[in-house]
Amino acid sequence: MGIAVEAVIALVKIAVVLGVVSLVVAYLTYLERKIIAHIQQRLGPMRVGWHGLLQPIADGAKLFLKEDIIPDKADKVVFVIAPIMVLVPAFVVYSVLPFSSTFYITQVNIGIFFILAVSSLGVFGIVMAGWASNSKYSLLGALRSAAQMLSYEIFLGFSIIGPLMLAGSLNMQKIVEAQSDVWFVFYQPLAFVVFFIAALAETNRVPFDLPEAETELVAGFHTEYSGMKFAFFFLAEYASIMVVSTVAVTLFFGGWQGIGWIPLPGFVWYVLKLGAMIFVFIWIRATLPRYRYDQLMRLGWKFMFPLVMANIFLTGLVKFLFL
Amino acid sequence: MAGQLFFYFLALLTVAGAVAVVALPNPLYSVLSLVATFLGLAGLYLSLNAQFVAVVQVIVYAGAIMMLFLFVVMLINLGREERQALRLPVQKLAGTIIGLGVFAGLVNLYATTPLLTGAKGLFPAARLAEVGSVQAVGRLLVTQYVLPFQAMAVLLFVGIVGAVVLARRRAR
Amino acid sequence: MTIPFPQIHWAYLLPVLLVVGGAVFVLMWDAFFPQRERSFLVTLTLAVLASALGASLAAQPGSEAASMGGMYLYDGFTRFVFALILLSSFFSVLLSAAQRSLEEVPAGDYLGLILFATSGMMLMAATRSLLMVFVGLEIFSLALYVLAGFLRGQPEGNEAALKYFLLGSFASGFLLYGMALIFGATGSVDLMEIAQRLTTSPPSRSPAFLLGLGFVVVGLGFKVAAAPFYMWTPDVYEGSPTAVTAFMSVGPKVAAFAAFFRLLLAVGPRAGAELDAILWVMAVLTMTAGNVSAIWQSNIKRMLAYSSIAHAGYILVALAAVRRGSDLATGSFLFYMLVYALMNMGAFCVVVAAGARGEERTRIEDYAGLGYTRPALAAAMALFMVSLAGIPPTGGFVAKFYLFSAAVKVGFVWLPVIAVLNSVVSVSYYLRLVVLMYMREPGEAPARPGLLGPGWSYALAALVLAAAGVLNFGIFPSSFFELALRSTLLLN
Repeated sequence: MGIAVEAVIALVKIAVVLGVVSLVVAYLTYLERKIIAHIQQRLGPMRVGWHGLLQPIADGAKLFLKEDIIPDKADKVVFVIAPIMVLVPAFVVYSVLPFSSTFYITQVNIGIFFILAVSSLGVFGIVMAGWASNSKYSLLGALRSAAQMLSYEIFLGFSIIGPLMLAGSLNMQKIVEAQSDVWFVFYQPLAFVVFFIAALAETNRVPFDLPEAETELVAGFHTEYSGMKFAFFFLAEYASIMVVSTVAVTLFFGGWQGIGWIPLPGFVWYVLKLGAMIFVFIWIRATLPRYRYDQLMRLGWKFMFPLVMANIFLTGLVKFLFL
Repeated sequence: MAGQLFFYFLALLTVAGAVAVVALPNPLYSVLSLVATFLGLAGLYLSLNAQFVAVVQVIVYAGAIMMLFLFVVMLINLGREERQALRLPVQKLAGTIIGLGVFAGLVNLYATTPLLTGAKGLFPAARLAEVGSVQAVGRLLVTQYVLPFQAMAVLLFVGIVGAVVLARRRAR
Repeated sequence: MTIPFPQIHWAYLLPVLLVVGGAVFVLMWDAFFPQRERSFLVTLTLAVLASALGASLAAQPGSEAASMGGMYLYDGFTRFVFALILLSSFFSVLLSAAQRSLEEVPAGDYLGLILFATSGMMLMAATRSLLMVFVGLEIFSLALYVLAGFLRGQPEGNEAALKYFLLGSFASGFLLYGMALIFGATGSVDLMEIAQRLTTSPPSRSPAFLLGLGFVVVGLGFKVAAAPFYMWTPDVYEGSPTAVTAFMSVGPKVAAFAAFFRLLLAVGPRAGAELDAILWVMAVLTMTAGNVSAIWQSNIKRMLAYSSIAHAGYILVALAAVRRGSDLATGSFLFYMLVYALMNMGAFCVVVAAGARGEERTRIEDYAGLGYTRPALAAAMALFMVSLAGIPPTGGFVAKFYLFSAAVKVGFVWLPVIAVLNSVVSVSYYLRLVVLMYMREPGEAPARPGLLGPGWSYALAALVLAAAGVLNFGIFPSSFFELALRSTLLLN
């Protein structure tokens, strides 16, 4: 019977996390629209609820009820699987995130590594979507996305090696504990810059939103999608933003560790830092223009790659000589 | 019990994926099935406490290499007609027979030969859980296997240089 | 968590480090200062190879030959093989500098890849571990795949590169699978440990081990172009740039045969008679197929390709003798490889030097009357052909003599006889070229054969070096043969 009980508990936990994350992600879209609107001296959504607070729910309902169009020339099976392939990895990652020291779905001692691995699968869905749509905009978007995400995954992976070397562990909890004195962002500023840029590219955010550049590709890989399937891509994108923000906070900003004397519970610190991180993501979207494709690759391979390698080398050297 | 269920599920995923790779007519479906196989393998590694291998399996094979396959399949994008010509019935039959033969041989091998690796090797699952998979691999990489590790770096570098040499426009 | 720093004998590792470092340096130099003279990079590469040779000759193998848990093994055998590999790389760089069609290629990439390939061969030869054998093999294979197709404008080059790559990867798969099976059956990838397991426990007879051994033989057999895995050789040798062909015909063979020797020395005496039969058949098939096919060739690169297959067959004779525990066979293998490197490099150098800008002389007909138009070149070619055929007083004769007598000493009867018969057959096509050069009027095609390219000094150096070596080893072989024999003393 023990197994059955455990299974039920696990399922409940999964359901809770899924529900909360979906809701939070839905409100991220609201937040994004609001913040960008205010940056651009507009008001943003105002009609549904107080200051448009119910807007995400209305949007959700709309997308849910909308007709689900599958293009005639599309590869039906892949077309249907693709959005799921995008969404599932984005949510699976949450299974190893420690929301607090007691609430988590599972603990793996390779924590951060697992996150990298699973999120690297998201690109499959995007490429499948682009191919299955049988439209040139979609395919171009998908190809761009694949090249971009595969390249920047490398910088993302290498940029976290510096902090990991300092922490001496892959376990998220231990990494946070290692920053009780100084946040790693002060030891590893280079790594953080590279990580942040790579995270922008990995989540296909401005200024690296070439896969869905609306001025060139309509909407890139998800041009042909509508209804819930479209919503899946959206959910996945914002879920990924949450994940990379979480990783950034954990690796560079001391996770749930507070600042000095201010007496706030760890969880609040965590949410505050996460919110700040996400705000920067949105802020950048409102500020920066899009990169060109060759600029993207040049930035990655000629600038970030040597930088992050030098960072690893320096970290190792310093650790070997002084610690 | 739960572990066994887990194993059978993953084994089924792995084998079914592998069968689908060869059985499905559309190369794209084959690639996706291979991804499923790799994910199943990664799960099997996880259940053996070999987390590092599992993650590498996902990042390198499922993530990077299959992406490359997908690229090739998508860009070539064989139409139905071309695929007809690629039926190759004789080769298919021969492949099936040889494949079954190899399979029988392996089963026989496994039944008759006392293999000295795996459970009898240096790192059975229990010991791996003790020392940690990443730690074990990392330590070995910088001590006993430091030379192959560095040599692999040279190998990868040669691969990159070679790819750039072959791919770049004929300048100069 | 403290991690002990692994024990490394830097003096022993220095030759490899020099070559790898040189490769990176040459690549980088060309990337940052691309306008430099090509000859500077060539000189630099030659200096790297020469210094690596110096370093390996200076490093006396001592009692602590194995470092890093047997991953790197520096004994007398390694030292001699290093010298062979570095020598062949040295020659191929000279040839590359002399070859007209390679004048336009990016020198840094080309020379860097040659150096990388060299380092891979060295790593493959200097190890006791199957793991390093594979990694080293892949390093030089990858580099050679690219080098084979380096002249991208030529369809033959592309064909060669693609064929070599596809078949080579397939063979690598065999090799790796074999190694995995051996690992499964014995629990180790270290040849010494494998040998120990074979003596103490029964798995030497297990099907897993024998199957693995068979697969490894297939993989290595491909790299040394032994029958029946030699089909790629003529096409690849023909399509690749001649300087690369020369490199391919010597370097990889030295490295792969070295690994083959180590494998057989470790497991051979315990692996049973099956291996004896396999090696016997492979040797006979290889030399016969090579020699018989070479007779019909009209392209000199194809002819030399088949000739190199035949020579691989002769060396397999030595391998068979090694399996029966003959130290003499190992020594004569080393000596044979030394002579083979010189005469083969020399022959290819003549092919390079005879070519003009934009047209290589690859048809055998092109060599008609070369004795009148360019007597020195023809004389050198004649010398190398005579040596390849194994006629005294050249090094080729002495090397073959040592090789076959080693086989006789361990009780082989028919194998040496067949080898000698094969040598007789080979005389026909080697001497056909000589006859063509001296007893036929020059053809119409090369109206103005005269001038060499700007790389003539490199070609001259290579020719003089090779010719001097071939003659020296033919007339005064004993000191070098002694050296080769002594190099085998510390084995195992």
